[in-house]
Amino acid sequence: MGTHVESTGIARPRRSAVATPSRFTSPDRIVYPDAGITKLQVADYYRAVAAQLLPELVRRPLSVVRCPDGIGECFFQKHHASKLGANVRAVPIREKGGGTEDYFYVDDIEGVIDLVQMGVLELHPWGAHVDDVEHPDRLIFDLDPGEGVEWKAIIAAARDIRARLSAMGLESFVRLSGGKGLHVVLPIRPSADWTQAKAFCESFADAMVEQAPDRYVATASKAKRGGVIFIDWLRNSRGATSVTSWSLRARPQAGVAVPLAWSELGRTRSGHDYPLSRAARRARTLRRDPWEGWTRAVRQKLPLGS
Amino acid sequence: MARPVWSGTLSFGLLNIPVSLMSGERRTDISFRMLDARNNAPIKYERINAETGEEVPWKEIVKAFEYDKGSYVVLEPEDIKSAAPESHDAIEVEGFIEANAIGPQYFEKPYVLVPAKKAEKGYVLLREALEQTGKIGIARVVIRTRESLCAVMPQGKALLLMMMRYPQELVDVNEYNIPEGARSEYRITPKELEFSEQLIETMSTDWKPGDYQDEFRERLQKVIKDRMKAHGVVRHAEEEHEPAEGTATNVVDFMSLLQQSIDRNKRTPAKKASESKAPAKKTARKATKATKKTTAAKSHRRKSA
Repeated sequence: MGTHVESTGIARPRRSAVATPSRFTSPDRIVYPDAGITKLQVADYYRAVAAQLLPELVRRPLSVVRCPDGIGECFFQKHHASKLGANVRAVPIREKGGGTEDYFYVDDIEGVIDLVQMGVLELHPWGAHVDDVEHPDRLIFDLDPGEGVEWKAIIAAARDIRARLSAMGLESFVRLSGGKGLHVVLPIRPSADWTQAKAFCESFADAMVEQAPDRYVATASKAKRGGVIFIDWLRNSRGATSVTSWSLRARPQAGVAVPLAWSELGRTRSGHDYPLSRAARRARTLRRDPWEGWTRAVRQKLPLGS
Repeated sequence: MARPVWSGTLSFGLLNIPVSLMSGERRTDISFRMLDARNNAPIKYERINAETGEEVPWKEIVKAFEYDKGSYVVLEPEDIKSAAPESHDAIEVEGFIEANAIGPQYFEKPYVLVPAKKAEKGYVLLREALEQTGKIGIARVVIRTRESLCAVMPQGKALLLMMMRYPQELVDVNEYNIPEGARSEYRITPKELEFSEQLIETMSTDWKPGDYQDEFRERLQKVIKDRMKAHGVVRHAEEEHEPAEGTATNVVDFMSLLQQSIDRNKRTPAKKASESKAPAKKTARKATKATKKTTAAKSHRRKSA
C-alpha cells in the first residue's frame, strides 16, 4: 500500500472488529465515460490511497457526491440512510433551523468502500470531528478562478494567502481541488466556535480584497466575475464542507484533490493535474508527507478579537 | 541583539580578552528583484551546461581556475582547504603602531568588539592603554575561511575592529596620471593660494555625520511607496526593504486592513445577518449559498470544466 503518511497525527483507524465485508455490485459499470474508469477501479483507487486518505477523513461528518449512473447525474447527500452501508455510521447533529438529524461518518476504508458501492465519488468532510462538531479544527480558503484567470495567478493568490497567514504566525497548507482551483488549508486548535472562525475567515478574505480589489473578490454574488479570483471563505460555516485530500471529483477528467508541498506548487498547471491514475502513483511513491509540519500546526490558535 | 559575526579571544602578550565581533555597519541599499513583466513571477537562475544546455546538479559541479582563456585547472576541495588558514579563534595582536600612521584607504569595514561576561576589565584596560599611548593594534583574524588584516582601535567607550585591505589590494596612485610637479610649474601665485585658503576657512564647519543622508535612497523609497499606493502590491513586496523608524505608516498594511475588517464584522456579527435586519451584502451571500445548496442537491454539475 506504499508509504504510510500520517498527515494529521490521528492514529490510522483500524476498528476492523466492526467492519463487515460488503456486497459490491456492478463492478464493471463505467463511472467516468471519457476516462473509461469503472466502479471497481474507483473502489480500488480508494483502497490504494487509504493510508493517505483516511487520516483527514475519518470520524468527521460527511457530505458526499453520489453519481449512481456515472458522472452525468450527480447529487449531494449529507444525511444518513441505512442503505449507505453497514460500515457507515450515523451521528445526530443539531440542524440550523432547530431539531436534530442523523448525519454520517466513516471509521475506516470499509466505510469508504460502502459509500463507493452506493455510487459515491466525492468525499466532503466537515472541518470538525464527530466528537466535537461545534469547534472547527481546520479552515479552508477555496480559490475559485473566474473566467480568464491564469493558473499562475491562482498560484500567486495561494502564496499570497499563505504569506498573510504566516505573518500572523499561522502555517497553512495547499492542495489542488481536483477541479478548477486550489485550497489553502489552515489547521487550528478546536477552541473557537463556527461563528468566530467564520468571522475571522470573512475578515481575512475582505482584507485581501481591499488590498488587491483588481485580483480578488470575496462575495459569492461576484464570484463569476471574469478575471478575478473568488476567495471562498463560506466553506467555513457550520455545516459547509470542502472536498478532502485524495478524493476523486465527479468531473470528466476524473481529477483528484491532491495535497502538495508549497515547493511543488510552482510546477503545477491546473487544479486537475492529477487524474486518478497519476494520483494513485503519487500516493504509492510519496516519500514524505507533502504536508510536513501539520502535526505541529494543529495546535495553532486563531487570533480572535484584540 | 544582533548575532555575533565571530567569537573568540583578543590576545596580546599574556592578556586574553574573550570577545564577540559584532557588525558595525548597516546596509541600507534597496535591492530589487527581477520579475517577468508578463505575470510578475520571479526570475530564477539555473546552472546550465554551456555545451549541452542541460541543467547541472550541484553534485556534478567542481571548482576550477581559468589560468588562460578557455583553459582550466580543476581544484579538489582538499586543495583549497590545504591553502586555507587554520581556523583561528583568536585575534592575535602582532604589534602596535601610531594611530595616524595608516592611510584611510587601508580601512575597509568596521566591526564592534564586545567583551564577554567577566572580560570587562581586560577590555577597559586595553582601551585605556591604547587611548593613553595614541596607538592602535594590528592583528590578523580568520572569519569563516578568510584571513584578514585588521586594526584594533579605541573609539569612545568601545573598541572597534577595522577590517583592513592588504597593500596588494590597493592600486598605486602612480598608475594614474597625477600632476607631480611643484606648484611653481603650474604658475600658482601666493595670492591665489592665500585666496583659496581663505575660501576654505570660510566654508569650514564641524563634522556632523547626521547632516548627510542618502538622498537617492530616500527618493527611491518614496517612489516605491507611491507605486504601492497607486497599484497595490505584487505579492510580498513588503520584504523589499527595512523601513526606518516611523516611516512605514502609510504603506499598504495588510495587518491593519485585517484589523479594520475584524472590527467592522464585529459591529455586524454574522449570526444576526441571517435574521431579518441584515445588511444587503450579507443577505445576498446567504441567498446565493442557499440556492447553491438546493440546486446542487438536485443535480450536481457545479463548475464542470
